[in-house]
Amino acid sequence: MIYQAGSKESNDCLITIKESSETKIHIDSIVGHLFYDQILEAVKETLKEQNVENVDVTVEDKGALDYTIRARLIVAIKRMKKNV
Amino acid sequence: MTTSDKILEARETRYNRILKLQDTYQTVVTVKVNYPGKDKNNYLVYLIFNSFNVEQLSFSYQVMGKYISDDGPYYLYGLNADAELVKEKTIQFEENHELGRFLDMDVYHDKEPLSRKYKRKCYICGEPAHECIRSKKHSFNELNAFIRHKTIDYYTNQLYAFIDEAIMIELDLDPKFGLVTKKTSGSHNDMNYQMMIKAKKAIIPYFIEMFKLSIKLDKFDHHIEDLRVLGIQAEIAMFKATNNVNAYKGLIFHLGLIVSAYGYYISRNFDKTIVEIIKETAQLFFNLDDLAQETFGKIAYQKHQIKGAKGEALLGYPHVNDALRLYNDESDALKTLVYLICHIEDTNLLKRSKSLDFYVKVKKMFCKLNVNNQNEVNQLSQFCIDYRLSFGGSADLLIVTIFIKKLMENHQKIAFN
Repeated sequence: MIYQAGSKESNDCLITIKESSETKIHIDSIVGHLFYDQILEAVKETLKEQNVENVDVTVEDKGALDYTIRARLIVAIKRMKKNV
Repeated sequence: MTTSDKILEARETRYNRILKLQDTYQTVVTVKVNYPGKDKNNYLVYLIFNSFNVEQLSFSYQVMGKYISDDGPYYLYGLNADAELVKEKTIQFEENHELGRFLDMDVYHDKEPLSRKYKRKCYICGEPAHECIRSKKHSFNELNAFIRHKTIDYYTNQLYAFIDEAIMIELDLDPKFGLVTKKTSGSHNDMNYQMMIKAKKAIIPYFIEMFKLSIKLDKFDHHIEDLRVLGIQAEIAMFKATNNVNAYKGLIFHLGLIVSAYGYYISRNFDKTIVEIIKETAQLFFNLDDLAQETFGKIAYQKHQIKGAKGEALLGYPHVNDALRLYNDESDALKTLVYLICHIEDTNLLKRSKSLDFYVKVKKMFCKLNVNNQNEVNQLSQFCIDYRLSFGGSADLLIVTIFIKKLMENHQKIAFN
């Protein structure tokens, strides 16, 4: 089962999350050549804050700010927890 | 929920609407305003949003939806057309429209947004826009000032051009039944063409100021006095330019009212029509019982129940609405003027007719006039000059008609009926 939050609009991102045997993070960003590390850090930190482990996270990023990435990820996690 | 979260939620809602539309339509187009910060519904956002005119895009759509959200207003279009071709058109629009850089138009196909071949550049520094946004290179204040400057310039330049053109089309119409033209002063010993042009130049800046004031107002009625002062200043500037001849006092009244209503209307989301706003604005300025000044209009009303310019305004310009059906371009100016002379209550004509009987008789001559017969037009013009007749009230409304026609052509939002 996959859970999503966000959009593929400009300056937004679509987060897809599902349970997994280990934590995996995929980032596909239009500004990845400059901000890949920052985005990865934002995702890792948010997962930690939310006490989430063993998930497969995909970030399809259209130039979102950190705040947006975190907020989208939190909503995706909430949707997953609600259904687990 | 914080404002930022509300904005994100509104975006997700929009995205889900797009995906749903994609179940039915091959291509989906979104149109929204690209404005920084958390207030996505301020006057600048609506000025930009309302500058969008789908007719300039030349694509046909099957469905259209307009939405107001925490992420600002937006349109969604569902089409059965090739997405790549539509994307080309939207890019052309964004690049050619003066405010196109502040409009975001996304095209979806197979539930995916099509990307631009060339990345948009930041309008401040020319670097790739996404990179500037991600690194927060420019402050909100810097971006906002830039957008405000461009947006207000766009509207005021356009407004200036529209008013100027409307006045010139009326002024250059000849022959014109005793009204001033390039060739003749007609029934007016004290006026001429050059004077009218001087008066025009003197008054237009005040309409621009009225527009700039009304776009920022929260509540119109609190600022009626400020607008009235600008109107009085326009009159003073006109009298100074003409050596105390009343060239355009009636026009200052009409355009002042309409430009203020237009500014108020175009800078926010309204369910009301612009005509309703004009009527309400007119009622704020005056009502028929409290005509403060001893003008001929007041006497006409008391004596003959002829309401003239103010009556036309209070009713929301019903005769301008009719005249708009006749007027498509400059070549329709004569027949539109004749229509107005025949149908409106022109206190300027009543004054010069000296009696109500003669006033009625003159109007009948215009109702019967065949505007396609140049001889008839010339003869009636000479008759008006011989009797020193003039139709200032009708000429004002011709200018108003041309001006509103321009607004309607420019904004998909404005319908005048």
